[in-house]
Order: sequence, then C-alpha cells, then structure tokens
Amino acid sequence: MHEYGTVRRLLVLDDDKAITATICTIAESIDFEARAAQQAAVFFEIMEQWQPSHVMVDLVMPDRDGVEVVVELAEREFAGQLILISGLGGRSLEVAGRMASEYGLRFAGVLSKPFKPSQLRDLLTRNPDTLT
Amino acid sequence: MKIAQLTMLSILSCLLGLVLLATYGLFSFDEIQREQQEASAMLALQHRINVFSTASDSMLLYPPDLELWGAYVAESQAIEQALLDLGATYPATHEVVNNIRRIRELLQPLATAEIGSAPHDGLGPLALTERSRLMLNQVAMEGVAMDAALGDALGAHSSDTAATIRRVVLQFSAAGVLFGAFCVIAFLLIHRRVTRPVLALTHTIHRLQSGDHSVRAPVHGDDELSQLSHSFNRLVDQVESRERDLLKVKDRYERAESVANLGSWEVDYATGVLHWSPGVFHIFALPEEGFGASEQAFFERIHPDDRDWFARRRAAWMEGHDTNFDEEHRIVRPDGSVRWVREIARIYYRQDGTPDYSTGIVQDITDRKEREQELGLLSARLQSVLEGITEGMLVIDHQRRLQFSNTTAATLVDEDRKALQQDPVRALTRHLGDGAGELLRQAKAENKAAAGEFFHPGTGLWLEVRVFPGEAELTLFIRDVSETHRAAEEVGRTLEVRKALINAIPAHIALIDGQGVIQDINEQWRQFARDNGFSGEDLGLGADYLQVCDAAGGDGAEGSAEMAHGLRELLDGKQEFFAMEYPCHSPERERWFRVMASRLVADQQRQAEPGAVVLHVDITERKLAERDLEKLAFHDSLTGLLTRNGFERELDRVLASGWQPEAMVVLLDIVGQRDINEAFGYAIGDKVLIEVSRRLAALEGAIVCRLGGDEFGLFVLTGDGVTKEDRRSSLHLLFKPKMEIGEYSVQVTARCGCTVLGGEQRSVDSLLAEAELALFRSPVSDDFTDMAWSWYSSRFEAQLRIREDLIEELRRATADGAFELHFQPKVRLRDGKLIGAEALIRWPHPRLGLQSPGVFIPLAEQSQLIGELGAWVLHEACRHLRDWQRQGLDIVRIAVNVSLQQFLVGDIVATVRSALEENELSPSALSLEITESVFGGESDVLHQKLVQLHEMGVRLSLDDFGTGYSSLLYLQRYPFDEIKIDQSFVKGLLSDGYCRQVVQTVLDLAVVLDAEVVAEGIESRDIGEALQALGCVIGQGYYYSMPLQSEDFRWLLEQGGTLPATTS
Repeated sequence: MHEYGTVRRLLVLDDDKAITATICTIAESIDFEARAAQQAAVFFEIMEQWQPSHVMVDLVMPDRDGVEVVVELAEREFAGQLILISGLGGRSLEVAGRMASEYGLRFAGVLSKPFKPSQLRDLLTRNPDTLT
Repeated sequence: MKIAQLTMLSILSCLLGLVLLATYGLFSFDEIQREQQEASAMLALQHRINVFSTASDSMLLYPPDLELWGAYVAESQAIEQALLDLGATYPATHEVVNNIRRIRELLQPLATAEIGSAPHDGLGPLALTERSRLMLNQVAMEGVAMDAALGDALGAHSSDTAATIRRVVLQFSAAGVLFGAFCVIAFLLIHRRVTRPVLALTHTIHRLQSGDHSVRAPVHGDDELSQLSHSFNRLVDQVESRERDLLKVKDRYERAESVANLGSWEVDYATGVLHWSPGVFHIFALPEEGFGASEQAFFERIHPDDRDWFARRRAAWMEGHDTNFDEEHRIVRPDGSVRWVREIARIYYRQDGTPDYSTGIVQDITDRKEREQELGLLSARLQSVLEGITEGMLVIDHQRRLQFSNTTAATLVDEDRKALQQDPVRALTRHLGDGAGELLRQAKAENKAAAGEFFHPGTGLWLEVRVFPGEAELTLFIRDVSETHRAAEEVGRTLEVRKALINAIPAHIALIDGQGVIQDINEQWRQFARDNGFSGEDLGLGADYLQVCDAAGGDGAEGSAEMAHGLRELLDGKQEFFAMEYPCHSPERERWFRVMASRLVADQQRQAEPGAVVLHVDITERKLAERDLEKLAFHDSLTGLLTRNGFERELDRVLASGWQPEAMVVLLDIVGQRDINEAFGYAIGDKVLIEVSRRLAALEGAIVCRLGGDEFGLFVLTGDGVTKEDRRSSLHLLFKPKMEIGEYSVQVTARCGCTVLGGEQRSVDSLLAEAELALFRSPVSDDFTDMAWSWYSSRFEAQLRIREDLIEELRRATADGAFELHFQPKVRLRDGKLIGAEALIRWPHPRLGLQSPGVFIPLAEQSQLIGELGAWVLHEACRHLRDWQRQGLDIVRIAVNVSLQQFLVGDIVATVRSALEENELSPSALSLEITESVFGGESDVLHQKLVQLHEMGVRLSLDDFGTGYSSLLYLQRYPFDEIKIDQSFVKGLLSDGYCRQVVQTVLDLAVVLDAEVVAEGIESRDIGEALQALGCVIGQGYYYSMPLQSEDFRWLLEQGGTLPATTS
C-alpha cells in the first residue's frame, strides 16, 4: 500500500471519452498518474486495484447515476479526494457536494463543464480537509 | 432844456437871424438903388449939359430966334437949378452953374442983336463976324470949363457911390458871419444833445446784438433821448426777462418731456426736415448729434413687427383720411431693447391740399404697456380663475346691473346670457323663484352674507346661492347642490332602510354609549331579551351593559368576563374593534355567539365619549358545521386517524414546543392494496385499511395519520433507550400477524420511507417530502413477510435536484429543437441489403456532451415533455424519409420509438397522421416501435389508439421483446406487425441455450402471429448467420452499422451497397 499524498493518482469516471482524455492529460501535466473509465463497473474495478488518491465522477451518465457512484464510493470507504464533474449548474451541484460530505467523503469540489485547465489543477492540488 | 425846446429855439433864432439879415439886405439894396438913381440922374444931367453945350455952340453959329432962346434960357436955368441942388453935395457944380450963366450971358447979346446981325445967309461960321468968333471962343472956353467942372462933380459922385456900396457889403457880410456863427453854435448844441446819446444807444444795441446782455444804454439827464435810452434799457430788460422766462419755460418743457417720457417732433414736408426734441432722442436712446433725423431713420427704429402696419396707418393719415394720428407701437433701441411709444400727431395742409407740415409728440409708454399687459394678464388670469371655479359667480351692483358673470353662473342660472346681462335679478327671480330675489334684498338690506337653496325647474337642479354684500355690489356664488340634496334624501331613505335592515339582521345589535349604557337596540335584541326572560319594558335599554357582563354567570361566565374586558378596552379607545366567540349553552341545546363591537368614530361636535356598536350573532350553526368540517378535514372518516392536514397541524403544534432531533417521520405504503381491492373487493380493502390504522394507532407515543389511499404517516419518538431500529422493528412487527377480515385471512405488508429529524430544523412539509423521497426509494418486494424500508438520504435529494436540472435543460432543448436523429440501418440478413432504419434521438448537450435517450427519455416522460419531443421525432424522421425518397434513394421504411406517455398525453394518432400527411408519406413507410414496458400501464386508451394507428396503415413494432411484461396475451390482443427480439437474447444466442430457445420461440410465435421478426444487437457475423439459420430474416446491430448521422446515412443509401460495408 502506498501513502496518499506521496503518489498522486487520479481516476476519472465520465461517459465522454474526450473529457476523460482531456482531464487525464491535464492531470499528468502536474505529475498525476491518471486513468479513466466510461462505465461505473470498470471504474470501481480499477479503483480497487489501483487505489487512486483522487477520483472524479461525472454526475450525469447514461449507465449509472453519478450520485449512486458517490454513494458506492462512500460504502467502499474511499479515503481519497472526490471531485464531481457536471455540466449542470445550480442547485444540483450544491446538493451533490453536500451529500458527498454527508456521506463522509473528502469532497474537494466541483468541476463545471466546460472548464479551464487551471480550474482542474486547482481542484487537484487543493486539500479538502482544510476547506472551510 | 428839452431837445424840442432847444430845437425850437434854434429854429426861431435862425428864423430871426434870417429876417434881420433879409431886412438889412433890403435896406442896403435901397441905398444902393438910390445911389444908382443918383448916378443915373447925374448922367442924365450930364447928358442935358452936353446937349446945352451943343446948343450953345449951335447958337453962336446960327443966331437963335427969340423962342429958341427962351427955351434955351429955360433949359439953362433948369440945368442951373439941378446943378444947384447938387451944389450942396458937390461944390463943383457951382462952377458949372457959373459957366452956364456966363455962356448964356455971352450969348445973350446975340439973342438982342439979332436984327443987325443976319449973318445967316448961308455963308456958315466961316462967314462969322469976328465978334462972333470971339464970343464963340468965350463960350467954348466956358463949355470946357463947364465940362471940367461937371466931370469933377461926377467923379465925386462915383466915389461916393463906391464908398456906400463898400460899406453896405461890409455890413452885410458881418451880419452873415454873425448868423453863421450862431447857427454853428446851435448845431453844436444839438449835436451834443442828440448825436452822442444816439451813438451810445447804437453802440449799446450792437453790443447787445453781439450777446453782451449786461450792457445798457447810458442815461444822462431827462431829455427825450435819455428817456429813449431809459425806455430802451427797460425794453432790453424786459426782453431779457422774457428770454429768461422763455429759457425757464424751455427748461421746464424739457424737464416735463423727460418726466413724461415725452418728446415732440415736427416735419416740414417742403424741406423734409424732421426736428426732434431732446425728449425724442431720449426715448429712442439716440445721440442728438449722430442721428440724422429723417423719416427713414425714424422708420428703421420701429419694431419690425409694427413697421408695416405703422407705415400703412401713417400713409392713410398723410393722405388726409384723418388729420389726427394717435397710435401706439414699439421701437427698438440701438441696444436692442424694445420700448412702447405712443405717437400723437397732427398734420397741416397747404391751400392746394398738399401736406405742409406735421407735428406731434412721442411718449414712451413702455411702463404703462407693461402695466397694462400685467394688468391684462392679471385680469385674464382672474377671469380664467373665476371661470375655472366650479361655482357660478355673479356680481350685481346696487343698480341691479350685472358686473360680472362666469360661464358656470350662466350655465346654472340662465343659458340665455343676454337675459342675465340685462337684468340679473329678474333672471334669478324668474328661474329660482321670488325667494332668490328676497335673498338678495335681505343681504343688501342687512349688509350681511346670506345663503339659500333654490330649485331650478328649468334644469331640475338644486342650486345653493350665497350672497356677499359689498360696498357697491353683491357677489353671488351659485353651486349645484343637487347631489347633496339627493344624498340627503338618499340618507333619509337609507336610514329607513338601514333601520329596517338592522332590525332584520339576524343579530342582536345594541348601541352603547361611552360608559357602556345601552342606548338603542334592534328588534332581534328585544326578541332575545323577551325570549330569555328579561323583565321590564325597556328590555335592556338604559342598562349598563358592562355590569350585565360582569354579573353574568353560568356557562358563559368566562366568556362574559372576557367580553366585559374587551368592551372596556374598546370604549377606552385602546382598540377600535373587538370580537370574540363565546358559548351560550342552554340546558336544551348548545349555542354559540360571536360578539363584535366597533368603536364609533368620535363625534367632533358633541364632544361626547364615543360609544360602540355591539353585535351578537348566533354562530351555532357555523360552530357545529366547523366541528363537522374539522372532523372531515383533519380526521379521516374511514379510519378515524388524522388526515394529512390534521397530521401537519399536529406536527406543527408538537414541534412548535420544541424540535426533537431523535424523532422520525415515517411514510408507510401498503403494498398490494390494489391487488387486495381487486381480489377481495373494496369493502375488504377498506377493512384492511381500518385494521392497519388500528394497529398503527396502538403504537405508543406515535402520531398517526392516513395520508390518503393506502398511505399512512407516522411521527414517532426515539430515545430513552428506544432506538430507531427498535421503532422500525416494532413497526415491522405490527404487520407480521395476518389480518382476519371476516372470512378472509390477509397478509399485509408495507413499504416505508423514513426520515430522522436530526439537528437541522425543517418544516413539516420538508420532513414529509424527505420521507416521501425515501419511500419512493424503498425496494418493491413481493415478499409479504418482509417490510421494505428506506431511510432518507441526502443523495435522494441530490438525485432529485439533478433530475430537475436535467429536466430544465431538456425543456430548453425541446423548445429550441436541439436534438438530432441518428439512423441505424435494418438489413436483410440474407444479403445485407439495407431495407430500413430505426431513427434514434440524440441530444448533443453543449456541456453534458452527447446524451443518450436512456438518460433523457425517462426524464421527458416524467416531465410531460415527451409529447412534444415525440412529435418532433416523428416529424423529423418523416421529413428525412421524404427527402431521401425524393432524392430517389431506395429506403423502404423508417422506425420511430414511441413511449407509453405519448399515448397517455396528447393525441399520438393525430401527430402521426400530421407527420405523414405533411411529408406525403404512405403510412406503411412508418413503423412505431413500442417498448414492451408500455403494457405496464396497459389500458383501454392504449389499445384503442394502437388499433387506430394500425388501421391507418402504420406498422407497429413490439420493441425489447422478452424483457418486461411480455405476455402472449398482449401479443394476441395487439396488432403488431413486427417483433424486435431484445439484444440480450441475441448477444447470448451462441453461448446461452436459453437465449437461443427464446429466439427460436419468438420466431415461431411470429409465424403464428403473422409478424416479422427483427433481431437487435447483432455484433458479429456469426450471430447474424446463426439468426439466419434460425429463420430470422431482418436484423440490426453494430456488425452491420452503428447508428449514423443523417448525412452519413444518406451517403450509405446513395452507395446502395450491402452491409456490412467492406473496407476493401
């Protein structure tokens, strides 16, 4: 087992391949190891094996509800940081974020689509435990 | 001496001198004349002597006869006498005389001899005897002596005469010199007295003329010239005085001009010279020097707006239409300021009628004009104000003449303004009656304002006339008070009606005064009093109502005290309105009243404490109805539990006294109630519900309600050793025992959604919503022995919000038509020929990316958007098909997915028809793919519509066959033309015997049903071949083609090849 914070691994779940590829490229540019999944099942498979320090989950996906994925992350007691991805604005993000925290996940923030690389970098380098 | 006297004296003196001179002249003349006569006489004597001598001589020669002698002697004696006369003066004459005498003596003898002597025979002297010669010598000697003597005498005489003349001349000359000297003296005197003063006067005049007004003629003495000088001086003084006066007058005139802002002018038309007085220059603000006064120059100063009319007016004046000219116009000063001037002029004509000259004055009347304008404005304003007032106004002077009336007055009193004008009093009397005239007389007589109201029969209006007497006139204000009159009548009538109404109102009404004493009561009150045994005639009138309340006892005692308190506060002005409901039960029946008391508005005039109106209404019926209603609203009639409203109210009440974090709200849904109803009938179903209620109500410390149908709500407390799970278990246990309903024994179970109140305070609504969310999430289980349970989680809300946001996006996208259709080919498995396509909707979201129908179609179905979306898909698919057909591309048919919701909301039949007709497509070209799941909501409507579509000729395709409510029953009932085998069976065809079996069964079934079979999800050649081997004719799947964008699909059609397309 490795220590979080020393090895930084990002696992992305989004049904849009272009998005996952972009996110991985940006993450790698700041010395992250990055992998992506388009389906939730694959995502959890990788997660169990690869033990990422960060995961990013799209809230709106065809095969599985992003919220359910978050709940499962909580159930699997994922200890890394969680970033939510969404093209939706408004209350849903706020509520989802609150929910993630309520479920005991280390919620680092939301990446709103479309996003700038800098926003993603900020989210990845942020320490959610110091968030107020 | 006066000059006249002097002159007279001088003249007289001169005259005297002249007379003396003339007299002396005459005297001298006489003397000279005498001398001349003497000389003449002597000359004449001398001549006689000469003649005598000659005669003497002659006689010697010729002796004288006696007569001659005698003449001779006489003559000689006369001469002797004459000589003797002279002898006194001239002694020489004596000699002469002597000579004469001696001659005569000599001759004498001759004269005596005469006879003897006759010598005279002609012989002449020479014949003379010698005596005669001697005597001749003597006589000659005597003649010569005589001549000498005579000469002497004559000489003496001449010298005498000369001396006399010399003397006379000398004397005359002296007299003339004397006269001349006198005259000189006289003239000198006159010169001194006349010329000098005249010269001085002349000099004075010259100096005066040259402007020396101080000089005066010198005055000496008191003669005429002095008087003249004096008079002259006086004259000069007078002239100067006049001049000073004139200057004064001129000065005064100019000052007057300046004060009056006046100037005068004069035009001489012969010369064209215009003369302006300084005043004019002042008015025109022009310098007297620089201004070339001329008519033209004057005209240029006239205000441009006035110039034309002024010129016309002036021309008319000049032509003699009017000799008087009096106009007002404006001028512009050099500095641009505008002044008003008045021109008054008069023109004078010559005999021949041409203008001679004109003269006039100019007056600056700007101030007056301004005042006039101000006055005019003021007057106009006053007029408009008076016109503007809503009241009519008339001013009538004491001579009954109308001084002023505004339009309103005329409108109100007499439209005929003339009549009003002529005799306002009569007009008023005629229209408003004698009373109006009387009012005027009264006001005038008493010199006091008076008012009255009169009816105007002409207009049917009531007019109020107010008269205000003034010094010389009466001012009348007239106002239409018909409305007030009507209102007053109305009030009277209304009061009657009100009174009747108040008596009729089913309420006991009393009027109490400030101290609570009953002043008035209505009939109802009386009736009530009588019915309730109040004694006395007054039935409460005059009683102190507060005391009555205070003293009341029995059932209403509490209410009475409250009422008395409320009324006191009302009367004290602490509140305006007071109302309460109170019971007033009698032993016979329940009764409630509502008392309402309104504080009366303080009466300004009476200064009395305002009282109040107290009104008791019998609200018994309402109270009873409310009681029933409350039961209905808050208590479920079937189970006796609280209703949703009752539950919410109860929870509100409980939570208002303190939030209870450990409590939880549970929503409970009886599973399969529908089935129970269907299986056993509603009566049993209801009994089940009643039994459930009974068991729930038995829960300790729980508030239970029936939310409706088979749904119940509970509020249960935890804590004190009771955990949430304990609660869940106890709830679970309630449903364990079967219910014995009559002859039936029914196992009932429930689904539960539960939310824990927790730390965050929320509304009861929120709590119920959370529990409901949880309920929806509880698993549906057919296991009646287990109770499905779901705790509320915030993820439910997150999911709900995400769904709401997505629906919002979808709504926008639907409105914008932001969807795309993709087409997945259907092929004939035998040869890969493209025979149709399934149209698949895609949603390319700008932020979310391409969304699959699996995500958004359910959302569309939940949000009623599916009707619109479905219609769009139908029209779009048909449009593409038409386009391809028109391009001559070979495509048989197109399939469109439709959802159950489309059958339930909107008219799908009409939508399909319009899509087909719009694109001129044959109905058989369109397939509607209906997923098997629609039969979950199977209904008559669905069936009816499907049949209609089928009859229209549209192909019906049963989608996803084998996954849901598949039932041979449906296949039989519904006219499907096509069955699509779900891809899960197709994918497992080669590896799973079951799948193969299903596929085979479906194919067999299709033969029976006369339907085509389409295999979905063919991903490999092997599967395609396997299907073909089984007898499947048509298929679709990625092996042949993925869904394609319309352009790509069209391209595929154009190629016309077989699928899968080979890359070679």
